[in-house]
Amino acid sequence: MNPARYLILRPADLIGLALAVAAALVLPFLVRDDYSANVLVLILLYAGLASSWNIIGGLAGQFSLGHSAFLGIGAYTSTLLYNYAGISPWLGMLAGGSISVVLALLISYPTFRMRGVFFAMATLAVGETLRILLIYSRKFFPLPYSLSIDYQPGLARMIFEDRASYALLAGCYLLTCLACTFVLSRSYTGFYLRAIRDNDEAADAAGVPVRRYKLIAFLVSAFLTALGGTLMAQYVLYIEPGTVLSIELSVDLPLMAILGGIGTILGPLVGAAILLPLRETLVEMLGGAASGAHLVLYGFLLILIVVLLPNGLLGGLDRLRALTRSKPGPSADAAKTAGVQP
Amino acid sequence: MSPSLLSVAGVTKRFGGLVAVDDVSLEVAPGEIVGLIGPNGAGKTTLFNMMAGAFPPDRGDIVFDGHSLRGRSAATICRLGLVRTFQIPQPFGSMTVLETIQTAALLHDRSIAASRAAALAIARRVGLEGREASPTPSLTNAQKKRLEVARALGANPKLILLDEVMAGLNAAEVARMLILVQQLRRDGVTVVLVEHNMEAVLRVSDRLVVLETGRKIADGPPRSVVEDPAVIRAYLGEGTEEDAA
Repeated sequence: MNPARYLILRPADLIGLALAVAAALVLPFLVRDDYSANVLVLILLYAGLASSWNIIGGLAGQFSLGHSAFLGIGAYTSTLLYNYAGISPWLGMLAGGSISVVLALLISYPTFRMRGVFFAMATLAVGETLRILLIYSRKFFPLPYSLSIDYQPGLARMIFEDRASYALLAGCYLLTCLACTFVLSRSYTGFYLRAIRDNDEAADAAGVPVRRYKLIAFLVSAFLTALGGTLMAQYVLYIEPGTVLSIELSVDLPLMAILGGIGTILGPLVGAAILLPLRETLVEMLGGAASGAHLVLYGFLLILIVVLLPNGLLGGLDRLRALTRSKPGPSADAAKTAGVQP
Repeated sequence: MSPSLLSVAGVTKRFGGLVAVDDVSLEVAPGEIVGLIGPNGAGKTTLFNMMAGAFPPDRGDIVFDGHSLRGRSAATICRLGLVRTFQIPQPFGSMTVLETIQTAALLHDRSIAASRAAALAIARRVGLEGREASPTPSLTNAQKKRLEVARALGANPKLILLDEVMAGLNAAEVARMLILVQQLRRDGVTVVLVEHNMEAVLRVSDRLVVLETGRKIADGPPRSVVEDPAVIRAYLGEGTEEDAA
């Protein structure tokens, strides 16, 4: 069976592949100073998480604001299994992914009836409820508020001495997420998900099993997000409801995807590569000046980018390419009709 | 009479106190073009939506090609070979013309190349050649109506339900659409069309079914139906208080 029969492949994909591999597998060996290496780990990890979000939020157009739930489940499952049962995070990661998939399946029943902002609000509630339940459950279980993982480097324990190893691990995670996105977006499922995103009623009438494909996107997204949760726990070696289950995470992932280009394959990576260094730099420059000053500038810059590039950076690139291409010759007709539109 | 492809048996649908469709039965034979007409509020669209699986009837059953449609989603009905168009075109806004048709064509072959070839052929068939790469929002209304038909054809239907595909078209566009409908039958597709444009529906239909206030009041060849006193009364009214009741 020839995969090219079932996938749309474009010449520009080679450039994208080269960029992604360079970021994920080459940069970790080049970045030496500790500060940059930390930023690199975070970029690759968050890019993977934002890519995972992009599968349900971008490809399928279901704007989840509850992905902290999946991330938190990933982080907590592997950490609890490791701390209390000595189970390797490599296995704990899969366990967390599986539990996330079950949760996603359960919440799909009430939430998939809702569209747009209602789906966003419902998923937001799921994430927040999980965080509050976890805090509240300490009344009944002898669970500490925060969990630390003992620093004992070892591959089986997924704990490393150097940041480069973490960067490489996060890079592999990112490539996995990108590969899933690529297959889902460039095969027949890509057509189905876009149809669902554009108009679910028309998709249904055209024979697209709307619920099934929304669910596939949601489950893959939940599973990959949970894997990233384990990676985050193993990197920071400390988790608490206020970090891995925070609403900030649920907002950051869509933010990165939107910034880079929602629904595109490399958009989330581009978004993470801009957002995280920007935030780090602002904290450094202004963090001491007045509390929250960096957030004001951060918010201002985000608004500016979204206003100037409503389709994200990659969307802006696409438009630029369309403009330069439509000037001469063959597709002048298309440009003309587009111009007639008010 | 040949066995019917679509059989509507005693179908009733209420919305609150309003009986939108009241105990309607009708048969559609393979290869027929059947026009479903009636004044505003007669229940045409409600009946149409039930045939397309948008919602189930309260009573009665609809059987297509030997399968009851009860409890089936629009997508599974589409897989059986019964596909609808929308009165107000519902294109996929981020797609091109070709991608829209291809989405439906992927139903039977998930290969990108095969569905693309099928979509190209359909674009030509409905007269959208040259617009394959156009984004759907850039189409004219008439082209969007053709795209509705094209997307339905992508799913390779046995029966196509056309919901007012002539509405809002000028005379030349209506003429082209009529040729397309006749072409569909020649290609072996059975057609049921809901239509307000009487002249167009008379020209193209083998048979007319007339609804009034949810009931079927006539069913037969177009010429005899339009001369039926009950139909004339439904359209023109009697000018008495009885109508208000």
